[in-house]
Amino acid sequence: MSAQSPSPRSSGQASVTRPGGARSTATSRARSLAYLIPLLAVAPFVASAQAAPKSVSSAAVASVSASVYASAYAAPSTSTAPLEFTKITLQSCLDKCHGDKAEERKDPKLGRKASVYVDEHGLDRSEHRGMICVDCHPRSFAQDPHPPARRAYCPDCHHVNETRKDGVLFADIISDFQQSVHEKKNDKFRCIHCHDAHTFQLETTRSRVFEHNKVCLRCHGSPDLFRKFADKEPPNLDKAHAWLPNRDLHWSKVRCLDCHTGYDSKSSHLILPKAQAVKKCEVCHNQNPTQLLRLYSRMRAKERAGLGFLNGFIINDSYVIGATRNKTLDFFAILIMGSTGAGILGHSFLRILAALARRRSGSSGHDEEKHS
Amino acid sequence: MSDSTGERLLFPRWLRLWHWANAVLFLTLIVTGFSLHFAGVGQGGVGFKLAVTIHNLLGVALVGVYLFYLGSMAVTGHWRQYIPKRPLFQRIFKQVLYYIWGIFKGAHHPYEACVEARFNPIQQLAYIACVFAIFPLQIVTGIALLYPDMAPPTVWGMNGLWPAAVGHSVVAYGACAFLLVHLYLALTVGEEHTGVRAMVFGDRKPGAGGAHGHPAPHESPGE
Ligand code: HEC
Ligand code: HEC
Ligand code: HEC
Ligand code: HEC
Ligand code: HEC
Ligand code: HEC
Repeated sequence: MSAQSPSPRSSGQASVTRPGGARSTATSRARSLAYLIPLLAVAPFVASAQAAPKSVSSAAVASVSASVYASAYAAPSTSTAPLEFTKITLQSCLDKCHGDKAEERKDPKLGRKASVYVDEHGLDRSEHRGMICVDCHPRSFAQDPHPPARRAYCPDCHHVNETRKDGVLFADIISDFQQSVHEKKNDKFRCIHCHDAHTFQLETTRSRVFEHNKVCLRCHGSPDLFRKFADKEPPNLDKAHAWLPNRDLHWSKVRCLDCHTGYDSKSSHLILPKAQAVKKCEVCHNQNPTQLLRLYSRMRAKERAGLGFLNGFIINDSYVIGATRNKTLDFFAILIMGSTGAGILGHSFLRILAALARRRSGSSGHDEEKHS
Repeated sequence: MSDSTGERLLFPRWLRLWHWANAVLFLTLIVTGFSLHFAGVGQGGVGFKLAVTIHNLLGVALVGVYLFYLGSMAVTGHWRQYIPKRPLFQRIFKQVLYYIWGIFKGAHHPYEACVEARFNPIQQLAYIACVFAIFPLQIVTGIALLYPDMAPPTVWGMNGLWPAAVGHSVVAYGACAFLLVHLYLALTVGEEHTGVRAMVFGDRKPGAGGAHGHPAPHESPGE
C-alpha cells in the first residue's frame, strides 16, 4: 500500500495541495485527524456523554485543535474488560451485536435509536474484505455503546502518496476533493459523508450509476441532511435540470458527477460550481461520447463487446442516440441509397439516350400523340 | 363537378393538403433525424437539443396527419384505391415492362391516373406497404423512443430500446430511398410534370384536349 510509480500529475508531491498553496506532510496529517472530529458527532455509537467529547459540534470543528483529539485516541484503548471478548475476530463483533438487523443504539446526532447492523457480505465484497472491525474501530469495548472509529478518515490509512491499483493517487482524490464546491464553500464535508468503508468497492457493475447517484441524492434529495451542511434549503433539482429532456431516464443512465465535474474531466471528486456543469448534449450524444466513457473506464476489456454497434459496450446499458448507432446498418443504408441514386441516374441517362435516338429517327410524335 | 365537393378532381383538396403536410413533415423529420443519428459527426446541423425538440414535435404532428389521412380515407372511400385490381400479376408486369422498356420507346403510361384509380399497380403496392405497414411501424418505434421508459429494460442482453431505435433507423433509411424514387418518378415520368401539377392544383390539366396553361382548379376537369 505504499507509493509505487506516482502519476505524472502529482509526482514528487508528498502532501496535499490546497488552493492556498502546498503544505507540509505534518500539517496534512494533522488535518487528516481533524477530519475525524465530525465523525464523533455522527457515529451512532456515541451515546454516553463522557465517552464523546461534549464540545464536538460541526460549528466547533474549525476552532478545535486536531491534536487534542489525536491524543485523546492516541493509543488503542487498554480497557480491561472488553465486553467479555477473549479474542476479537470479525465474527465476535457480528455475533455480539452487529450481525443483528434488529440491534439498535441511541444515535445522539439523530436523537433516536439507529441500527448498528453491518452487512457482513457487503464488507466481504468491498475493497476492505479481509479486514476485521478492529482494524478500523478502536479496541475499547468497555462501554456499550463504544467510542467511534478512530482511524476512519480514509486518508489515515490511504496515505496521500499511495497509488491505487488502477494507478490513481489518493493525493489526487484528496486535492480534487478539497477544491470541489462542497469543500470550498464550507469545511464540513468528509470522505465518509459519501463513502461507506464497509461496502466501498471499485468494481464496475451495471448498478454503478445508481450507486453513485445515490451518494449525491443522499443530501440533495433530503432537505434535513442538506441543512446540516449549509444554512439554506437544498436547490430544487427539478428546476435546475428542467433543460434536460427525459430527466429521470438520464439520471438512471448517467451519473451526476459525469456532468458536475465539467467537460473533459477525469476526476470524480472535483465537483465544480453549477455554472461549469456539462450542458452540451453532444458530449454524450456523439460517436465519441467522452463524458459517458468515463463510467466504463474501469470495465474489463473483454466486456467491451462490439456487436456491430459503435461503442458497443454501452449498448448493454443504454441506447444513446448519436453514440451507439449500428455501423453495419449505416453501411448498408448508404449502400442502398447509393444504388437507388445510381439506378435513377442510369435510368435517366438511358431515357435521354432513347429520346435522342427517337428524335434522330424522326419518331418524335410521341408527345403530340399523348396529348390528343 | 365543382371543386367544393372535391371528389371529381384527380386529387381532392383534403388529399392534397395531406400530401403536402406529409411532405413537409417528412423532409424536416429526415433532416433532424439525421442530425440526431449522426450527432457530433461534423459540426454542422441544428444542434442536438433543437433537433430533439423539432423532431419530437413534428413526429407527433405526423401522427396527427396520419390519423387525419386514415379518417378521410374512410369517409371519402379513398381506401378503395388500395384494393388491387385483377389480374394482379399481369397488371404489375405491364407496369414494370413500361419502366424498363416502354418508357425508353416513348410508349404510353399503361395506367394513366384517373379518379377511379389514382395509383398505378406498382404505386398501389408500394403505398399499401407505406400506409399500412411502414408508417405504423415508424409511429410505434417513434413512440417507444419518445417514451423510452416504456421500453423493456433489456432485449437479448442489450438495452431494450435498441430494437426500436434500429427499426426506426431502418424505416427512415427506407423512407429516404422511397423519397428519391418518388421524386424522380413524379418529376420526370408524368407528362410535363402534370403529376406534380395535379398534386398542387388538384387536376392534371384544366379541361380535356391538353392545351397548356390555365392551372386554375375551379375549371371543370371534364372527366
Ligand atoms: C475499512 C475500515 C472499517 C472496517 C473494516 C469496519 N468499519 Fe465500521 N466504520 C468505518 C468508518 C469509516 C465508519 C464511519 C462511517 C460514518 O460515520 O458514517 C464506520 C462506522 C461504523 C458504524 C456506525 C454506523 C454506520 O454504518 O455508519 C458501525 C456500527 C460500524 N462501523 C461497525 C463495524 C463493524 C461491526 C465492523 C466489522 C464487521 C466494521 N464496522 C468494520 C470503517 C470500518
Ligand atoms: C483502517 C485503515 C483503512 C481505512 C480507514 C480505509 N481503508 Fe481502504 N483499504 C485499506 C486496506 C488495508 C486496503 C487493502 C489494500 C490492498 O488491497 O492493496 C484498502 C483498500 C482500499 C481500496 C482499493 C485499493 C486499490 O489499490 O485499488 C480503496 C479504493 C479504498 N480502500 C478506499 C477507501 C475509502 C474510500 C475509505 C474511506 C471511506 C477507506 N478506504 C478507508 C485500509 C483502510
Ligand atoms: C461528494 C461526495 C464524495 C466525497 C466527499 C468523496 N467522494 Fe470519493 N467518490 C464519490 C463518488 C460518487 C465516487 C464514484 C465515482 C467513481 O468510482 O468513479 C467516488 C469514488 C472514489 C474512489 C474510487 C474512484 C476514483 O475516482 O478514484 C475513491 C478511492 C474515493 N472516492 C476516495 C475518496 C476519498 C479518499 C475521499 C475523501 C478525501 C472521498 N472519496 C470523498 C463521491 C465522493
Ligand atoms: C446531463 C448533465 C447533468 C446531470 C446528469 C446532472 N446535472 Fe445537475 N446540473 C447540470 C447543469 C448544467 C446545472 C446548471 C443548471 C443551470 O444553472 O441552469 C446543474 C445544476 C445542479 C445543481 C445546482 C442547482 C442550483 O440551482 O443551485 C445541483 C445541486 C445539481 N445539479 C445536482 C445534481 C445531482 C444530485 C445530479 C444527479 C442525480 C445531477 N445534478 C445530474 C447538469 C447535470
Ligand atoms: C453530505 C451532503 C452532500 C452530498 C453527499 C453531496 N452534496 Fe452537493 N451540496 C451539498 C451542500 C450542503 C451544498 C450547498 C453548499 C453551499 O452552497 O454552501 C451542495 C452544493 C452542490 C452543488 C451546487 C454548487 C453551486 O454552484 O451552487 C452541486 C452542483 C452539487 N452540490 C453537486 C453534488 C454532486 C454531483 C454530488 C455527488 C457526487 C453531491 N453534490 C453530493 C451537500 C452534499
Ligand atoms: C452525460 C451524458 C448525457 C448528456 C449531457 C445528455 N444526454 Fe441524453 N441521454 C444520455 C444517455 C446515456 C441516454 C440513454 C438512456 C437510455 O439508455 O435509454 C440518453 C437519452 C436521451 C434521450 C432519450 C432518447 C430515447 O432513447 O428516446 C433524449 C431525448 C436525450 N437523451 C436528449 C438529450 C438532450 C436534448 C440533451 C442536451 C440538453 C442530452 N440528452 C444530454 C446521456 C446524455
